[in-house]
Amino acid sequence: MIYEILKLGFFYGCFIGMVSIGFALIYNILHIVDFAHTDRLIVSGYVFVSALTFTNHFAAVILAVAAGVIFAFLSEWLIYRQVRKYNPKLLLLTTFGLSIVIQNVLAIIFSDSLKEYPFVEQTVLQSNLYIRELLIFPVLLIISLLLYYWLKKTKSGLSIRASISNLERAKTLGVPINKIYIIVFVFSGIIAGLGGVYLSMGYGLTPYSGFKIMIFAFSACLIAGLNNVYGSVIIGIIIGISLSVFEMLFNALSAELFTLLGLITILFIKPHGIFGEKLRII
Amino acid sequence: MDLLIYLATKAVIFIIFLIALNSLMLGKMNLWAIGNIVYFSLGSFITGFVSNNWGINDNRLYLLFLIVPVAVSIVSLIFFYASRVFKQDFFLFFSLFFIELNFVANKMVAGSSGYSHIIRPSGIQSDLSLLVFSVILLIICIVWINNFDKSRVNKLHSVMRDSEILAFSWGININKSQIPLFIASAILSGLMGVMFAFCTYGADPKLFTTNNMIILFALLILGGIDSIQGAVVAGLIFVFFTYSLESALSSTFQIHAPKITQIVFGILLIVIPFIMPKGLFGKRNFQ
Amino acid sequence: MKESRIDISADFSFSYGKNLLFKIREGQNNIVLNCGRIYGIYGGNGCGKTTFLNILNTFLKPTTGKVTFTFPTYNYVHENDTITASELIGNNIRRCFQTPLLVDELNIYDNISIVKRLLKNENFLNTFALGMNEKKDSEILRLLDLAHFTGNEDTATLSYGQRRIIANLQVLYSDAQLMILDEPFANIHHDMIGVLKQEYRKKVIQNNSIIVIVEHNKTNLHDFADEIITIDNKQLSLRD
Repeated sequence: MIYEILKLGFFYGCFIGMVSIGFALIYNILHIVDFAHTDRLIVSGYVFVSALTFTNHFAAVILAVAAGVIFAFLSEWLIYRQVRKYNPKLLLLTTFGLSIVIQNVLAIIFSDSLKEYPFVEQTVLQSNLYIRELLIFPVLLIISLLLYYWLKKTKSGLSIRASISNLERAKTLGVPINKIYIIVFVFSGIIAGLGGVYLSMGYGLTPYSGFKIMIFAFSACLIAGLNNVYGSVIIGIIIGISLSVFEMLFNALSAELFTLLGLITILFIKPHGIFGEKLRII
Repeated sequence: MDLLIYLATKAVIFIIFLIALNSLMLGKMNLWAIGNIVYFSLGSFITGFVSNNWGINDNRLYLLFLIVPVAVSIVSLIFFYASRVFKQDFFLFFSLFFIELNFVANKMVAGSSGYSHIIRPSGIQSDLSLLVFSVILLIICIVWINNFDKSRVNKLHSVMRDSEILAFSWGININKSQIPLFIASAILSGLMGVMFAFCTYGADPKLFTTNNMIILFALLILGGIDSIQGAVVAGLIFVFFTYSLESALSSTFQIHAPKITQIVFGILLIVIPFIMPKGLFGKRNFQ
Repeated sequence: MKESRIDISADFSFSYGKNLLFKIREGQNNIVLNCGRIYGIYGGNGCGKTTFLNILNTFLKPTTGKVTFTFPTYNYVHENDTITASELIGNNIRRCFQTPLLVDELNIYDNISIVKRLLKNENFLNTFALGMNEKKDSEILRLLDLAHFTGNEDTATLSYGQRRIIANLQVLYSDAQLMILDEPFANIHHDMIGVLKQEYRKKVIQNNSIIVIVEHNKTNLHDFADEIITIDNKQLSLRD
């Protein structure tokens, strides 16, 4: 029983950790919390579930990831970039607006009720693990390693790190900032796509599920320290386990309450994160 | 006519709530205090709790105008501390966090559908008397904020908003200056929560969500920062425009009308930076 | 009435982490900044001049030793964090920052008038009262006249040099016991510099106050300051 709880929590935490990587990346480049990130994840989830009605799983995953990438690309190219030109300080409100639009459009198309995975999940061989559980941790590892390799070893990664460190200086040195933004959003779109697939298979979807995931995922970023993308994965896993344990002890609602209280307490004690630099500007 | 009085009362309640947010938190301290919805919901839920769980349905309900300010003042100190610890976006995120916490806590205490059948105390039992009472509160609020804007304290807040280092170098105790604003804003918002519960005879957790608060915030930006007129415009749009749009759409789109209304507001949020960065009556650009 | 004075103990030093920035020169006793005097700070780039000003402004605490402030209305020993610095600063200390910090929402007149804290009028409960109109202060009008301003100008439209002049006028108006000036005359026209120096000198004599000034321009420093504090080779020393 306890193994089951910890297992559930661990894999959900991996999912949270993966989503938090997307948040951390976008935050470090754009310096805003992109509230629409988890809503793009939900869109990908709906695309995956809808695609399963006419194609196989593999193709449905590809379509879901493609949807995440396209949405992310369009968000940046059509909306965020234009807002940045006019008034970058209002970009945060724009992400909210996009989030509200996506949620309600999904609610109109698919209704408010829970959209479940249309098949019964089977465990893999004798492992007592579902295929999504078997894959989430390796996928998370691959994403983290790819990100590490990309940021440390490639030219575009160097440009991204330069932009993170000092955007104005990077601009004057000729770093193609708009291209950097597109790359980061495409990466976050891939994460959103994969996250949407995982969420729809394991937990079902509602148009408004994204908000709660956003709260937990961004908390993981804050607690780890916004400059520490990999730390947020560890914190995400801890959040997942905590939710699972509290749900076992009490109920789902109490689990959220106690986890949120715990997160707030940690944020008060360590406002700049456990592994991160000081955020407060004096 | 009854409908008009009901909508007008709702509008006045939201206007006062938005004045508390716009003129005190956003205007004086440049804080994206979307967490004010927590005070509003606390006011409503404490009213519902007292009315439904304790069965108090007589003039003792007026004690809520003492109880709620105390309760929300305590919560406001948490937000105040958070505003000193977290800056800018992170305070906004903390506020979202707290809204979610509040939502979960409300559902646990009051259930998914919240409280209903809240009775009004005598003196404000009719819709018209409630409207008159709300308007009196609105007038008091406007007179106070106008005086505040002309006072020397307002200039101190301009300094603190512009540069905390400068304020500190002039011996301005930032904590001492900001705490009264947090408490005042919380008390006004909490009291409007009580009024809202009386107006709608209930307290539903689904009303006090982030989406609704963000929409109110966007309308405030449209109305203009640190202006009473801006808060009035935002409150009127939120109540009358929403009602009109939902009514107009419901015949064609039925259950989707509220969602389409939300989509309209979401698009407004995206478009505001282009059309009106300062809003209609704002004293300065949004930061 | 008590006279203003700042005592810097002989064991005074400041370090960033393990790196010593400066300490009192060996063999020197404690440094005393007396009222009615102007002290210049001189040293190379990065030697800690602004850090020293930050300590005098109570933004930073000394790593070792103590700084004792004696003002007519307040006594304070700045060696640990037991007291709120804002109470000390009150109306006693004012600073002209290296980058002029003005409040762009207020006009020039308000930027200067707000510097002198009128604590009675700053009570939150006063916000409920009818608008309190303060009469225009003749001292501010006189200072504005020196610099050819009317006071109604929008601060946001001023040039850098004009902003620096206003920052100086703020300190002059404040009647502070300790005036901290961080390169106050940069980007200001030569004639105006002369006027400002005269006004500062008058204030120091009239109010028995202390000025501590950082200047890279040796001429400005030597013909303005009575004594020079040098920071050289991580050592702080005072000489006439």
